[in-house]
Amino acid sequence: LLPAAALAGCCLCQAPESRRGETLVVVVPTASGHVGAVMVNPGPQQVLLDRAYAGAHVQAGSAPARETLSAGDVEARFADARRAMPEPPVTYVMHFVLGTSELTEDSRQTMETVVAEVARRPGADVSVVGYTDALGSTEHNDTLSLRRAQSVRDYMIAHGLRGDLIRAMGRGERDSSGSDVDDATNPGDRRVDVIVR
Amino acid sequence: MNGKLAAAVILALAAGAAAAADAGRIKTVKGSVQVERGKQALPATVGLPVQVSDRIVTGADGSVGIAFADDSLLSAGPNSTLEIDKFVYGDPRRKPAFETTLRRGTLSAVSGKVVKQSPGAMRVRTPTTILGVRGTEFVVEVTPETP
Repeated sequence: LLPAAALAGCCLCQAPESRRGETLVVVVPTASGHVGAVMVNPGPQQVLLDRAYAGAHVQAGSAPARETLSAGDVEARFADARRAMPEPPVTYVMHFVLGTSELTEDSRQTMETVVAEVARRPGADVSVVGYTDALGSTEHNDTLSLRRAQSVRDYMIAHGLRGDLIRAMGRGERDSSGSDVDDATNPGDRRVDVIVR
Repeated sequence: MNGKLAAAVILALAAGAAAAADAGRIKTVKGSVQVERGKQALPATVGLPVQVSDRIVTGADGSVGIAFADDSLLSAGPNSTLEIDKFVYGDPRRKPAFETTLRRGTLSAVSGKVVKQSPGAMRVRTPTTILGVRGTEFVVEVTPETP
């Protein structure tokens, strides 16, 4: 450890006017106040940042140095990047009549909102993800979920949206909300999530 | 042995398919911003797809915002270079992963479903460290070495 520290000191002495490259990372609360976590330098010198405005400075070969910033510091330093942030994606949930790929009446109305939202967002793209309840075989549900997603995609294209902006995916009964209850006809799982970005 | 070989072939095919797919799409552009793709340098425009291996470079007056297919959001401020190293999402055969490198400049980030499905699977490299993202919103600034 000692020779490494001596060497680092030596380099700084030889070029006092030079500035070493540095990374600053800061964890920021979300709009709803949630604070996540970032592991800096995973390895022997790792530092976990898991508080609002917890930050770390890292120079090459050195352990991260912690610093807690203020909201104002972050706004001042990252103003341009933060202003360039895209709008958060929005998810709409469509429901189907049991065992079919036919939308319920309510969901056909929601679709009008989706079409308007896609038109409003600059450079919008859309994911359509189909789900089924746990009733029936996995193969059947994989097929049904994809068919549901594709029928929603077709509907959107029929309403004037560009097909290359919409990707349809089937997830079958995987990740369905009632996964703890097998073979359940959970209406909440006979759905398609439409995510507009 | 055969199993291992088969697994390697499947991985290679999946990697090819993922590389061809768009990872995200540009949503905001201000000032001069370029997307370097192979030997091409494309002017960034709203709606332009972003792919794995793209390098996004902003000028002194530039900033850019990108939404990714897993709902992650990234934006870069002026004088920034951001590289998209790896993006795996929505393929049930592969572990989700989202890896980028910030060479210089500023980055603002909100993690998405890659992190929800696999905490730590979003990584941001910089010239001096690696960040393992467990959630949600964070900012990064890389100050380059000055001679």
